[in-house]
Amino acid sequence: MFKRMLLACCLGMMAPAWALQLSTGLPSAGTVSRGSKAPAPIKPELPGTAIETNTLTLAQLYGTGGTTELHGRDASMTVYLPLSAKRELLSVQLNLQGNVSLALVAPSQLVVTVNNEVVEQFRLHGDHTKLQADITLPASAFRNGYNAVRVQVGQHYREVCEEYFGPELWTRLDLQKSHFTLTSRARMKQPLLDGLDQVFDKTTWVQRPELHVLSAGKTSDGQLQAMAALAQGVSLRYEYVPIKVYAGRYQGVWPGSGQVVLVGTRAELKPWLLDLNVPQNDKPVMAIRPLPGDSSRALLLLAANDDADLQRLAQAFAMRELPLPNLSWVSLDKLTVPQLAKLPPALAVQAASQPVVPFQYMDYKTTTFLGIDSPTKAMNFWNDRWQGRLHIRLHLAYAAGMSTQSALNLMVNGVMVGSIPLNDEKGGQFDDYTVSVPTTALMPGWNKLEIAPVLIPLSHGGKCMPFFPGNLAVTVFDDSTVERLGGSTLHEPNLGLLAYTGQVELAHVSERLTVQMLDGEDDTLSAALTLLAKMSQVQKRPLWQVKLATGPIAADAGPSIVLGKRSLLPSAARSEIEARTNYTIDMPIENQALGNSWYALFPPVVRDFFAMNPPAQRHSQAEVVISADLSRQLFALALSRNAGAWTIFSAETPAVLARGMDTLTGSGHWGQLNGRLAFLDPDDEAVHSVPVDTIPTSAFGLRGGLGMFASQHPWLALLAVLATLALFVWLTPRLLRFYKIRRHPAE
Amino acid sequence: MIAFALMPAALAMLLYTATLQMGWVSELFIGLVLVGILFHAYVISFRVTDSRLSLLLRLLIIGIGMFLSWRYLYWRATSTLPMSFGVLSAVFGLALFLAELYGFITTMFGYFTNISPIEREPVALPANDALWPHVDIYVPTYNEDTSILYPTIVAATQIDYPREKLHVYILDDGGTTQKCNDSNPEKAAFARERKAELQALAEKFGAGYLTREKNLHAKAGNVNSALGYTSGELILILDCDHVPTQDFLKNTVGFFLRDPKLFLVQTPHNFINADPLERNLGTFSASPAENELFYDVIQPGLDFWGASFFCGSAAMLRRSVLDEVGGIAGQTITEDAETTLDAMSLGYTTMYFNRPMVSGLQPETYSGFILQRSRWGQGMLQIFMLKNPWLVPGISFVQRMLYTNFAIYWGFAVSRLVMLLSPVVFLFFSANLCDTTSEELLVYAMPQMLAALITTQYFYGRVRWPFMSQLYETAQAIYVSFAIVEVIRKPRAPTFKVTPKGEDLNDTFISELSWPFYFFLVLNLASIAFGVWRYIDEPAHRGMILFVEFWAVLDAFFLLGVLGVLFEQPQARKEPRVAHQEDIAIDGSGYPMQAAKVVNASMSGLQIRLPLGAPLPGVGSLLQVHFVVRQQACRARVSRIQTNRQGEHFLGLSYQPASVADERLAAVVAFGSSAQLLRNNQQRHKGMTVLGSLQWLMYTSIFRGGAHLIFILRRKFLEFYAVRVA
Repeated sequence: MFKRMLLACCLGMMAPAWALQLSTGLPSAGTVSRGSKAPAPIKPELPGTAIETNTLTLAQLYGTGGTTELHGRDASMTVYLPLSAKRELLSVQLNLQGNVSLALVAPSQLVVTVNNEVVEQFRLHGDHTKLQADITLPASAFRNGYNAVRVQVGQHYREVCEEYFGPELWTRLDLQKSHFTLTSRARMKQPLLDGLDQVFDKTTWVQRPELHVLSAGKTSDGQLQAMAALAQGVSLRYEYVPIKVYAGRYQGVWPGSGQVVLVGTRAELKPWLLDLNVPQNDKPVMAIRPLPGDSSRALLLLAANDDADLQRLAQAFAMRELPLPNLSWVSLDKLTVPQLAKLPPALAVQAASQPVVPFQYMDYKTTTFLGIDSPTKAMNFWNDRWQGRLHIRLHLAYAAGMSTQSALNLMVNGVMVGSIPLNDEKGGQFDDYTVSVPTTALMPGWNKLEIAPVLIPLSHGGKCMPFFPGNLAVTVFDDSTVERLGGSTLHEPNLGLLAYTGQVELAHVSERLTVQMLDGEDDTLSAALTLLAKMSQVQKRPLWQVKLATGPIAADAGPSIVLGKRSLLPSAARSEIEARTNYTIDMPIENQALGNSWYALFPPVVRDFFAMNPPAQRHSQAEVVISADLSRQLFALALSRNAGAWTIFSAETPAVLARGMDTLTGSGHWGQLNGRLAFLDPDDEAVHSVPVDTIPTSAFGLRGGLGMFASQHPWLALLAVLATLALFVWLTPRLLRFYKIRRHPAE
Repeated sequence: MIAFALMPAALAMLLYTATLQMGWVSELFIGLVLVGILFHAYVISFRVTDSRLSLLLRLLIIGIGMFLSWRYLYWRATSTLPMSFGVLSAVFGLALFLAELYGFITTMFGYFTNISPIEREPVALPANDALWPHVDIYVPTYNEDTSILYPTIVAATQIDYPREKLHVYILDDGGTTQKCNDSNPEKAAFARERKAELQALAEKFGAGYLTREKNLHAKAGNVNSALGYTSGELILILDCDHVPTQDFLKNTVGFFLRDPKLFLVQTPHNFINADPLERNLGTFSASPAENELFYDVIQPGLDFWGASFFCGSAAMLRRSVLDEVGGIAGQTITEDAETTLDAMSLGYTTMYFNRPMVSGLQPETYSGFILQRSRWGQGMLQIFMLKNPWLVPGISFVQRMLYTNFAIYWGFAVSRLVMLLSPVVFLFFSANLCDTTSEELLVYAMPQMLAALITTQYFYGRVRWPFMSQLYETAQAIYVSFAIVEVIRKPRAPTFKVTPKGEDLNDTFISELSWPFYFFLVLNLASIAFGVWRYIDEPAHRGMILFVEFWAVLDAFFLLGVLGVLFEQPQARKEPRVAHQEDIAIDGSGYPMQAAKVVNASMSGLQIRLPLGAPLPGVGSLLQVHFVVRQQACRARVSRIQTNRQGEHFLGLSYQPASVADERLAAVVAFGSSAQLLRNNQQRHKGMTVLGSLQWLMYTSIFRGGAHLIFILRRKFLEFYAVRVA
């Protein structure tokens, strides 16, 4: 009954945009499809046998490399250690490495807590400036999900009258070297459909979980679309953990790692459905079972006798929030998808394209900044405007009892653009505090907005004064907004847009996006699925508008992502990134603020003219022809086409393309995707972009540029003024004569 | 066609270039070079006789003036508005900017209007005078003394035109049945007596006398009433004090014969007496008359754009058009301009003939002057509000635009008040009215101010001394502002008030309208003193304080000058005299025939200059005056003898007319020649340099304004002393 209510609730929520009907074998259902518990031989939970040891650096968990400094008398850092429900933790070792200030004296100490439980503490002293500690953390203190491991220091350099933030009070932790060593073993548990989130588990310690999407028979077009939806469904369950997707045909051998999804007809999948008691009918079925031969992994089955059913089944799977029953299988009776045009754009797309967007759209959640050393909160936003301005309207509240010097600073791209005084000792609230971001602080494309609180207590301590940390708190609500004003839409294609919005352009978001694979190679398909998985993670929802296609791309194709070998690329794209066997790059010599493409304000004819004949001082470019072994490079190219933008991913071979895509979709690389042309070596840390598109927006534009020119060349400016005056003086008598003859013929 | 296509682009480029934000060195460089070119163009313009080159120079001056003004305004609007310095700064800063914006708009209108003024020549009448139209001359009057009308009627009835086609009428609104039967017996008796005098005057000189039952719709109603009794094809309207020259009709009728669509020929209002400013500051003989800026510069410019308009008098109108528009309009108190608008909307044209052909009187006192100007301001604003030129069908865009300009012109009063108060607000309250630096003032304001001085001198220097406009504006600012506010509040409230003329001024007195200027002067002087203290106390702001102090001191001179105007001086002459050059001969009993030259003339007499060594007649002796060229003579009595340092003798002669012909001769001699009037005006067109005018302003303000204050203090002291003694 509960399941029925849950489904009804779900249906109610979806209506009228969505209509979905699942059969789970409930007696009252019109259909007789029925789900069942796992087959009897498989026990709900089995003791695992293989013990694994994993190492996770603090840098991986903290999201940043390098070192972190714990500064002041009381400082701490917290990392969140994930623990999957599928793993049984046997032991945890925390290795801390770093340096301790020479000035530290007793009773300085370091405390480690796990989920607020003190698990270890030891003294810090300047006599031992090298910090090297192996700390055993009790496994019992950890629970499934995310565990807060806090490293807190109490630091002193003298016994009395010490400055709270004396420069001597520091401990530095090397995040790259400091690490957890985790010993665990798998929990053998029967996979069920309601536990898909545990199957595709974001709390995994694996950096890049693998997904194998296999077809049982020949891959049809419908299966291709289903695979695309499947890859997205899986990636959405992993949320932000990037996955690698491998596509191929089941050849009788299961992949050695990762989770597996098998698609095919009911007949093709019959061997794996049979023991799940799936009824013998034509209905599309989604089922899950342990992977044969490796019960620690799951095998997800999607069986349907025609392509449309299979596609719908995969789409249903891609809806992560769909409450599936705690059964092994379910058949899909109905799925009605709304028309593409009626779908609202994803939040990331709205964040990039709407004139006003709340912080929520930019992945920001209401945050309370606490304490003296409250960390800066950063969020990225996409600026699609040229010469536009930005208003940041903040909704915030701050606590009573702070010094009047407290402020909330706003930085854009590292530049201070506004400071909100938190100067009422009684605390306060701003509903709509507007900070205007000057044009010069903005870049076309990616921009970084940082909220940096400076919370200062009423008393600073020092000089033997009492120190009151005070009630230091400011909350910035996520209904704060960013508003774009003026400017013109950027016309330059930019790979950063794909990275930010999962969209190749903003102009045709309600249209179908074709993912065109130029060949039928499995590697190319793997690359496409990996990319789609990433894009859906970016958009935080399935990409309903995506259609996978195989074969050459039509010259008039609309918005598309093209993947394939370089040799198969359309000539327009090939000429952009490749001339014969060499790569030709138009490289700006000087990357200066004046080098803005102010001609972007004009119609394409004018733009093209300027683009072909760039002003020497601003766009001096060198044509660089690189002749080297580039066979290991993945190229990404954003192309502007009349019918819609294309984003092209290409490499010498499909294998390199797939590997390159694996690398590119990783967290560190994806964010680097920017500019018109980018390339990377799959084994390299960096994505290399041609920096022509990273020139910052400036306040100049056409007027400003001319003004600057006039300032630098007063004589020429004077000549221009005199020429204009001469034109005026020359023309006016002609008009006056014309007027006089007409109005005063007798005179 | 190419010029049509390129012109907007050229203008746009010019304005666009002016708004480019350059470094201050470039801005200053360009500004100074342009001012240099402007100055040279101005200097060269005096030597250029070729009309084409003259036009090019004018356009260059306009172009540079426009460029620098626009650059300044753009900078003021985009960089200097003090919106972040509190309410006081924001309010007054915005008010100051609006005042400057007003100045910019009127400057642009001035450039546009004056771009190509028309100089017209009279159109010859057909040889066969049978083809000449009948002309009615209307002389409307309300309450003026008969002596005011006397020369007008005498001159009008002897205009050079066929007698049978010339019909002069006195339109007496003071002798209506309503007035003659006034409930106040004294007023009724006065009306009847005056009516009888005017009827006698009309009869004596062959004019008609028309009056009506009731005084409806003031002057417009008076004229419309007369239209029903006369039948001339053309109508010349003369104010009762506007004495026409003999050639008036021959100079104007031809235009109507040439152009059947012509509704109006307006001619200048030429005044032979001093207005209160000229009289009380002593500038009448040297400075051009105030109205010449309008009649000698602006009207010819308006004429080019087909926008010259009826000014109530000294204008010929076509009756058929008047009939078509329903007579003189009466919705506003400037019925003249309103009627022009009505005629224009029916497709009729107007023109302006720039030759002084009337000798008129201005209000003698400050209060009369203010009454007249308030009526004009209210009337033009009424037209804009009640008969908005943008809503009137059938007129061109340029005409709409220029009619708008006529209305907003009167905004000078409010603008001047803001200009007077701004330095006070800055110096007293440290309000930031213009968020700028001294460098920016140097770069943007200085070239603009220099350009404004040069272009003003170029266009108006001949007819207006520098700073004289500011003085007139200051004198009118307060009361005209009130008048404007009254119209804005109640557009139909103002009624037609007749300008008082021919007032007797026997004594020195302080105008009763002086008190607001005391207030402004005290405020101004106090702010200057406060500014000095601030200058010492605030070294960081000295540049700006010094600039505003200079401004405030200039305002102080204007205010003191206005106090000089308000210090009404007695008028020695009972009637105005006109400078006149003519050879005559005099003789008398016992006095031999002696050649002499006329110096000036009036209806009642002459002043003549005797050659050196000529015998002097006795005071009171009777002489025969022979007008050699005219071959006419009349008798006159010697009333006064004066001798200058060179030993030349000047005789004052009073006519002793023995006949109507003698009276007519007196009128012809004094007022009959438009060439003489033109010469007289040109005598006053010598202009004045900026520095010379500034020096004059300072001198006059201190001495005349000081005299005003001393007079007040002395009177107060005497009153106080008398009370103490008592």
